[in-house]
Amino acid sequence: MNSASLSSQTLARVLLSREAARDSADAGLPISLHAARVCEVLRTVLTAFAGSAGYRALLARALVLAKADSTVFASVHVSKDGTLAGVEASVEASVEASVEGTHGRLSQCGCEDGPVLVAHLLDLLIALIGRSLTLRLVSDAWPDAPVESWNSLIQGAEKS
Amino acid sequence: MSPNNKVVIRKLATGVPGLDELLGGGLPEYSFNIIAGSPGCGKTTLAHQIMFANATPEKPALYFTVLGEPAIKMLRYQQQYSFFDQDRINSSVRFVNLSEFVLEKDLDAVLAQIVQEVEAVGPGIVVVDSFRSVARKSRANGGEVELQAFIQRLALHLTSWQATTFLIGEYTEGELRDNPVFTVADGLLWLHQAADRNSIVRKLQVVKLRGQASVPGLHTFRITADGVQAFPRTFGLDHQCSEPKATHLLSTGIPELDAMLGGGVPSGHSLLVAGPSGAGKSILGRQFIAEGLRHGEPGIVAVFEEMPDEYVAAARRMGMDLETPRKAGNLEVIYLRPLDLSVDETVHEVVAAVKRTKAKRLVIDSLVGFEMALAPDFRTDFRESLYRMISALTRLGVTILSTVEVEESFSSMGLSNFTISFLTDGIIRMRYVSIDGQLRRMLIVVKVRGGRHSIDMREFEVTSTGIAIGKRLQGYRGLTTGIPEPWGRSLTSIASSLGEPGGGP
Repeated sequence: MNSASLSSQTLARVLLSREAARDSADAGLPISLHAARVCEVLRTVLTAFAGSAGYRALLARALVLAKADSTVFASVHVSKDGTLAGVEASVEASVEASVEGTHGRLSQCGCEDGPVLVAHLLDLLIALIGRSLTLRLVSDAWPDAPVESWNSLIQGAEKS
Repeated sequence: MSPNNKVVIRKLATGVPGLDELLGGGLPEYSFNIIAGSPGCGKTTLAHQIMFANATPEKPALYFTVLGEPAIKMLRYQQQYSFFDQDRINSSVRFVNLSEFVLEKDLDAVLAQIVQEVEAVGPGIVVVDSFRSVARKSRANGGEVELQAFIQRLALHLTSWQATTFLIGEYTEGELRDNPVFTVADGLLWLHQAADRNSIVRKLQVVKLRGQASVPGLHTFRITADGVQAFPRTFGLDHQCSEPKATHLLSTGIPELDAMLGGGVPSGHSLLVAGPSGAGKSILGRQFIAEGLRHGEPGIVAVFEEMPDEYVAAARRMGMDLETPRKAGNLEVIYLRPLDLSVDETVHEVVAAVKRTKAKRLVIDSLVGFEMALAPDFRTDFRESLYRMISALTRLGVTILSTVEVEESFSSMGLSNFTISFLTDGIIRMRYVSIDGQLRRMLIVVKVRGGRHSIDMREFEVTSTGIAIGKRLQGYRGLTTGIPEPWGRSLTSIASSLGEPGGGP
């Protein structure tokens, strides 16, 4: 389940895909592992003006919301400097639990729930500083894509 | 040294309406300034406004946030103002959070971080919000000298990097003395906010500004959706009269009254119409403005006691069409009654309307309503403020008719409750008089500066089409008291009417 907004989910999925595509060695890894990378890129941009404590507070709130949606983040926590800790261990535990069980599929173990955390983080930013400024910050974090492209992506998600 | 060899200090436009005028033309470029005041008085908003007005991609603005309002919340609220341009964030305007540096490191590290950012970006504007947090950190460590050294190095560095700097701090006026921050600063803008009864009064003071003449004193300001707007006390007083006074006479729309005034109201004069409630002051005002419009003279009516539509409708009922010129833009009826108004703000509104419409006539209906619309704090200065307002408006060549309600006394005849009659060029007094068992209306021209006027006391009526002036009231004495007596009445009959001994029927 993902209780984040559809537009933030769409945006989060694209961001995670971009990070996954950055290194071919990462191909095939559970997408949840890339959530930590996306958060790390956002951390650099957001910490600059919000401070690490400000960013940490936002991420901690997003993590609480994500844990309510998916078990894959069960043992993940936000460290003092605002980085995510325990993501790999948490994903591995989910995979093992899935293999031991009857599912045997990543999608059912929650390992594909990576966008949930990022989507909640984006939702929080949009609620606090508005969509326009949030997309500008996203564009600063991934400068190869202009704000307009993120905006049209979100608008497309809202229409669908 | 010839004047040509002096350094020219460029003045930056602040983007804050009215503030450049207060600063003597704008902010000196590369100056090191402090914006001080109590919480909630608009310091951060003012800094943002100045920053957005001056930041460019080539010379961006760096906004350092320290331990104060969280940056996310600051962005949340500041983007509500019209000047906040999101497209310029991180290109022309960059926010840098220094909270951790201040919390965890010493002032040298804070300075090093600021220097590093400044050298990387090359900003034209630098803001440190709140600088008070930095100063507190220093004081907590017992470092008064350390703070002074920090400020000096900061000022030196930022000036060398050709940045105009603003340190924002919550200070009280008692902290003004012996404070190294204020000693180093080139400019000190102090924002005051005080609650007076149920009104909030905001005032701004340029306490210090090196290198140029600022306007001294406290000036009111308001924070709206467009940000801060200052209302200089000298607004409209610093320019020459657009045309000399009394070059021609303006008709009031009542020929008999024009004749009493010596031909009409001299142009550029301020005429006060004083009288009790219901005497017909507002009607005279409507006739004055309607007559001007008939002669192609645009007009402004500032009303405080009724809404503009009501004012126009009341005129229509008397056969005066104010709606057509209003729609055509030749007449503006301004309703000013926010209850925490300052006179300077009113002057600003009215002057703007006068310039917009090229108005030749202005009616203020009424001064009592105007006074009521002011925050209590401003009422104490009402007379002085009114003087400034009348001066500013008549300099624009506008002829003003103001109404004022006076409490009717049946022993004397006051001209107004504000002792403002000396401010005006002409005075018309209306009053009720008790004659033959009727409460009749009487009108007197008390004063026309520099001109001859009638000294008659004339009866008038308010008819369905306006004021109709009748004949001179003759055969009575004590008309000004409101209880006249017929001339020639015997002392015996007077005593009789009073029921005194010896005066029996």
